[in-house]
Amino acid sequence: MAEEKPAKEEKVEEAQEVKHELLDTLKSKFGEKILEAKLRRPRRLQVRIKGEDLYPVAEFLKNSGFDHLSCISGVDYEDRIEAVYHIWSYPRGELMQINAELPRENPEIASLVPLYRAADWHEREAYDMVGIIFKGHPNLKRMLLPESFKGHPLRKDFKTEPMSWYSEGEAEMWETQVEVSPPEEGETETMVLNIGPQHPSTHGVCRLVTTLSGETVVKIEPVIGYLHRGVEKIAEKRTYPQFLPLTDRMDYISSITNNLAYVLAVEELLGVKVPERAEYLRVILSELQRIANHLMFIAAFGADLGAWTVMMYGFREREMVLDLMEQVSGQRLLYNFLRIGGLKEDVPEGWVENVRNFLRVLPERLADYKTYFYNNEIFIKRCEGVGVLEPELAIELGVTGPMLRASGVARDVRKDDPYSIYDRFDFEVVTEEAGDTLARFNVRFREIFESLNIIEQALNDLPEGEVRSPEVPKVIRPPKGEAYSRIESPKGELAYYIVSDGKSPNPYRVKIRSPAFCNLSAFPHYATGEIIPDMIVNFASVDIVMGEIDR
Amino acid sequence: MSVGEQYITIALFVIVGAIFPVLTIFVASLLRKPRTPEPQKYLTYECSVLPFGPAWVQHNVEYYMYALLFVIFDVETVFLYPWAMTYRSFGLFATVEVIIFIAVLALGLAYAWKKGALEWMRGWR
Amino acid sequence: MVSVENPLIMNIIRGLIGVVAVILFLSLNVLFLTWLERKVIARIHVRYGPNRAGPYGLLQPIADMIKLLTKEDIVPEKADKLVYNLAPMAAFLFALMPAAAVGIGSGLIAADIGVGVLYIAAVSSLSTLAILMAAWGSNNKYSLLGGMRTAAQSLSYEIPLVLSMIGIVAIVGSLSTQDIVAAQSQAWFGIIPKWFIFYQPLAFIVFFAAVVAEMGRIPFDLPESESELVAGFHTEYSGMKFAMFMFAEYIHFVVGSALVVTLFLGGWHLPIISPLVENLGWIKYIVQAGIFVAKMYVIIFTLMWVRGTLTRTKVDHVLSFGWKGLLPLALANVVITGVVLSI
Repeated sequence: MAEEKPAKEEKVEEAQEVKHELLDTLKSKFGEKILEAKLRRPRRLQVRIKGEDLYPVAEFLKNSGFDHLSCISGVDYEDRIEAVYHIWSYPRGELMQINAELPRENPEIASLVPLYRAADWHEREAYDMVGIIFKGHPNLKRMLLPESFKGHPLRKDFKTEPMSWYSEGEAEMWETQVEVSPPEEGETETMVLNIGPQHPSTHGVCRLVTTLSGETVVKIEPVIGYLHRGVEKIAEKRTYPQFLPLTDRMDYISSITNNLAYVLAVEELLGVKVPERAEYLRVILSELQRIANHLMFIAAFGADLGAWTVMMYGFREREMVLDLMEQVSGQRLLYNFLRIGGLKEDVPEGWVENVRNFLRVLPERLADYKTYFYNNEIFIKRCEGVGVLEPELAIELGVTGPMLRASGVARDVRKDDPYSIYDRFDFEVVTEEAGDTLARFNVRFREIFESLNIIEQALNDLPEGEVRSPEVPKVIRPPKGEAYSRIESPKGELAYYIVSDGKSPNPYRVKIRSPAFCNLSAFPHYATGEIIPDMIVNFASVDIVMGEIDR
Repeated sequence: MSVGEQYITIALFVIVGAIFPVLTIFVASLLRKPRTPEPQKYLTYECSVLPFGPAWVQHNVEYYMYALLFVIFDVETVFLYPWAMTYRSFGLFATVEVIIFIAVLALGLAYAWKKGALEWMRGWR
Repeated sequence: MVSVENPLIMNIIRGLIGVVAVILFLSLNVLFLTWLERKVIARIHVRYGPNRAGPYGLLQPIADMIKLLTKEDIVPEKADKLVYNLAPMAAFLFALMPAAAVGIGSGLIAADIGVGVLYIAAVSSLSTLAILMAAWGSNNKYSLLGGMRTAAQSLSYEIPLVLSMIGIVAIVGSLSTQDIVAAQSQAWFGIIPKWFIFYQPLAFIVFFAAVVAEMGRIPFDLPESESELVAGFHTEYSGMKFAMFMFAEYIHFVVGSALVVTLFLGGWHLPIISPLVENLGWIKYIVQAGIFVAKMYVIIFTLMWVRGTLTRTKVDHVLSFGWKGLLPLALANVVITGVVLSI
């Protein structure tokens, strides 16, 4: 570890040249088409082009090593619409942001689906929310809103008065059509089964329209949007601190990590530095959330398999974490504890001892789980070899987090793109080789131990001091700019893209890149060909939470 | 009662067993509040969405394979019961006979196993 | 005319007493079991279980009964009315019929037909029909999927179930349950009972696994794999019809456990106590019934324990376990029994 830190700093300085080199290469290759190219901060490049030049630039970047499409947003400025692409390069370790300007009357742009398969759902959402038309997209339908919805909500001229969206009193769900094609010669008919919003094992209100042949799944189409609350639109009418409680409600199982991603983006815009004690406490709270999330995953996974006992035990352990969080913030689920510039307040007395106690007790309890799961042949047989996700396919589809690591790709935002003070801690990135459901379960189970490790290191180094930065003004008006903060939430890469226009106390645009959204978009590609019970177990192993997917 | 007369009890079982649920459901219908018919209540449940297509579709041939095997082995079992009852009076002859009988059927099972008739939805890919 | 009719009417009256006694016994047990199962599972899950309705929640079954009696009976529009309505009655009837040949004491049996075991085997496979009727009649894809799976599972485990009983029949030489229990009444050294679990351990394992599958309990929980197919074949049933299915399921549970006790665990015999009460008249019957019920509840508790511990197996594992695991074992058991007995 000691060798890496100076090497990183050198790399940053060299990187200034290296990145400039990439930007210079871009400028020399594309000439006039690059309207602006700059390095916002280490590991954040930005390039501004016109919409029609997108495809060649994107292709060039893909060949230069930018292989992970993180997010596609649409932003409506007064005179133009911008499609903003965030592409991360695993080999190089840096992020390229492409702002593609489009005319407002005719926002058409080439679709990036042939290059990055992960663009599929992102482009559909950008079409849904802002109205950008992606030419060449295989299936440009609305994503979060019903098909019969009129208008694009995230445009600035969208009227937010109450209106009736449904035609003549008929609810939308009656209108969704699915083509049932007649069977080919010699094949049995297929049956379209709706594993619908109200079902005990779709975690939340997710609808999977599955086409079955007998009991084999032939095609899955996830339909989301049942929990869509329009949070990104609400953000434009709230001040920066007022939006903070809303971020809790995205991934409601691990709320602190949502807070953290948002707060990091705003702090980057403001340019404030968070005091040391607050940083350490933030890390401790995030890792506690990670443990809580993975325990909930284990519980829900057991419930889907029919092991109700494990569900109860998982919740019992999660209660211990929730008790700790209640002592800190007074809340059990939606904490709203981080603030721009630090934390809301300091932790109470005796809390640190309670956390140490917890660190001691949890591994003993987890030993029980090991016996329950790994000595149980039924469990192993049900999960092994089911839902194998190849590593190349995973990267191509934009999968991040424990799902990606279970396929053998050792990528973790805490190591690749360290935020907060994660570069000071010594932990390993847990990977498994098999890529099946059992591997995904193993990764999350072992990550709990890594988190315990990190908490212990943080507790040992916890300094005294204040927990809120005094530089943060009362009314937060960050200067004009954009920020993209990526963190490793328990489900994957969570990122917030915030645009500030410098004048108003409200953010101009907030776009949330949620990990569960991208992981779910990968689900149909590798889960077909199995029978229904396998599909249910597969679905449970993706570990989604609908609040995050639908926002 | 002689053995033959015991079957009267069996017949009574069938009659009472058929009447009892009818009676119970009838009593329940007396105890209920009057019906409030509403069209949405009578829709088929498919997780709160209207189902696509009928439920009475063709089913895979897998189920048929199991039914077929069941019939074969059930008949075998029926033949084994008289053997079990009269076993004592036949001595070694019965033992050899049952070994041959079961061997022939085990061969059939092994054949079905090898041909993949026992795989659920996988052997036919 | 009078002397001919009298025996017939006497037989019918005796038969009716038997039927009523069996139904009463089963109903009481089922009511108690609904409470016991929830309590046992809850304690395994480190929670309380029902404890509001009455002391320790003992009135919970009554509350459940009242609720089910007064719930609205929603019949889906598209269901096949005849099949849909007949299915719960058929389920109850076919669950009840095997209970006729199982006795809880010597002579405490409703119908001591000479072919007891074969009758039970024959009638217990009828319950699959009731499930298929429910699944098909509901006109619901979930029910149909659940019903087909259940049918496949029931068929697959029927054969090992029936085959494992053959060894016992060969040892005893009779199909009547009374004779089978009587054959287990001796003991070695007066203490270790000569139960068939010691004589036919392989058959016991096969029978136990097969009877759990026939009951539709975890780990062979396909009929109502709740988290996969909502509620399986009884998705569309509500109110008393649903209660009939639940009733039938618990009757299966009780009768299956009673069968295990009858065939393998010595029925109502216990080594030291049985000879003691042999000549005490009606006390004998009470003691025998008590011993039988106690053993039955040991098996029931074990099955509830298993339910709290194991997960559900997948469809293809269930079926392959039945055909490739249990069936060869059962066949081997028959052969081994035959060979050993001839020595």
